[in-house]
Amino acid sequence: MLTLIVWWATIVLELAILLRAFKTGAFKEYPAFAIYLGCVLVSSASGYVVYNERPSLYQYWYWTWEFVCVVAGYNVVLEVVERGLASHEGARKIFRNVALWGFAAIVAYVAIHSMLFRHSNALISSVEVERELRTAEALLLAAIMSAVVYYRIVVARSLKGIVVGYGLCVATIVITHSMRSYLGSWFQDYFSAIRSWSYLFSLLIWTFTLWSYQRSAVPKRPGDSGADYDVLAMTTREAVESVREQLGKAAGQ
Amino acid sequence: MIQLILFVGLGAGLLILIYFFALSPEPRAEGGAQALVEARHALNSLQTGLLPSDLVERVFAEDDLHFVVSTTGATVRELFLRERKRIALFWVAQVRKEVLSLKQFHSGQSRLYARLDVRTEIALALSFARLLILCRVLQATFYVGGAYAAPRVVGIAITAAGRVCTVSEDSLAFLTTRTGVLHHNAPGPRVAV
Repeated sequence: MLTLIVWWATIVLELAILLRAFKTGAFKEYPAFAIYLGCVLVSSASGYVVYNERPSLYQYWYWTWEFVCVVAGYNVVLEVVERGLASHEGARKIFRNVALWGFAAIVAYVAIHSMLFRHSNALISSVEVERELRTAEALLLAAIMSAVVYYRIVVARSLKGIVVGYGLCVATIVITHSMRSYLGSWFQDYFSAIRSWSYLFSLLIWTFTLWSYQRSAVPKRPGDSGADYDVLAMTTREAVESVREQLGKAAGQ
Repeated sequence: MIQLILFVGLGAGLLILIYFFALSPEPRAEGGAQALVEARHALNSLQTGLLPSDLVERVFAEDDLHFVVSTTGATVRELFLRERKRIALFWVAQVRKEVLSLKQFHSGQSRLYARLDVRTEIALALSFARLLILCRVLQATFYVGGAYAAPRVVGIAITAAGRVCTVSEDSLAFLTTRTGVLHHNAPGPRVAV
C-alpha cells in the first residue's frame, strides 16, 4: 500500500514539475531535463497499468523504459555541462568531450560484455548493465561538481537542484544495483523501496528548486587569447613548483 | 565482494560530494570587474600578507633563545619557547593562507579562458594539493618540536618564505601590468576633439 502511495506521489510530482516548467519557461532552459522527466512519467504511469493488467510483461516493460530513461539521463548530464559551464568555454569543451567519450566507452563495454558473457538470468544482466551506465553518469556528475566547486563557478539554483536531485538518484541506483547483484533476488523488495523513496526525495528537491527557476549568471570574459592562458598557467606552475620544492626540503629534514 | 565495495564506495563518495556541493557557499557574482578586483586583492595579499624574510629570521633567531637561556630562569624560558612556537605556527598558517589565495586567483582566472588545458589544470591542482599538504607537515613539525626543535628546518623555512614572496611577485607581474593598463585606459576627464 505504501509503495503504491509513493508511486502515485511521484507521478503527481512529475506532472506538477512539468506543468510548472512549461509555465515558468524552465522547459526552454532545461529541455533535456523536461524530456527525462517526461520519460519517467510515461514509464511510471504506463508501468502502473501494465503491472495491474499484464504482470508477466512488467519486467520487460520496466527494463525497456529504464534504458530509455538512462539515455535521457545522459542527456541531462550533457545539459548540466552545457548550461552550468555555458560561460566557461574551456571547461565546457573538456567536460562535453569527457561526457561523450565516456558514454561511448561505456556503451561499447556493455555491448561487448553482454555479447561475450551472456547471463542466463536476464534480470541480473539488466541490473548490471544499468549499473555500469549509471556508474559512468556518477563519475561524470562527480567530475562536474568538483569542477564547479574548484573553479567557484556560479550555478543557478534551479540547475543546482537538478544536479543534486539527479546525483542523488544516480548514487542510490549505483549502490542498490551493486547490492542487488551481490545479494540476489531477496534484496529486490528493499531495492524497489529504496529507489522509490530516494526518487521521491529527488522529486521534492526538483519541485522546490524549479518552482521559480533562475537563470545562470553570465560572467564577462576577458580578452581570450591563448597566450594569456599560457602565461597564467606557466607562471602559476612555476610559483607552485618553487614554493613546493622549498617547503618540501623544509618538511623533509 | 570487491566489486560491491567499489560500487558502494563510488555511490557513497558521490553522496558526500553532493552534500558538499549543495552546501557550498554561493560564490560572488562573476564579471570582468569582479575578476580584476579579486585578482588585485590576491596580488596585494601575496605581496603584503606573507611575512618578509628578515622578520621571519628575527622570529626564528637563535640569538634570542641563547640570550633567554643564559639570563633567565626556567619559567621565562618555557614561556619564551611557547610564544615562539605559537608565532612559528602562525607563520606557517600565513604561508598556507597565501598559497590558497594564489590557488583561488589562478582558478578564478583560468576558468574564463577558452583554451583551458585539462592536463595543465590537473597538474596545477595536484601541485597546489601537494604544497598545502607540505604546509600541514611543516605545521605538524613546529607543533610537535617547537620553533627551535630543528634549526635546519627553520633555516630552510626562512628561505622558503623569501622564495614565496619573490616567486609570488614574479608570477603576478603580468597582472600588475594588465591592471595598470586598465587603470590607464579607464574613463576619465578628456579633452573634446
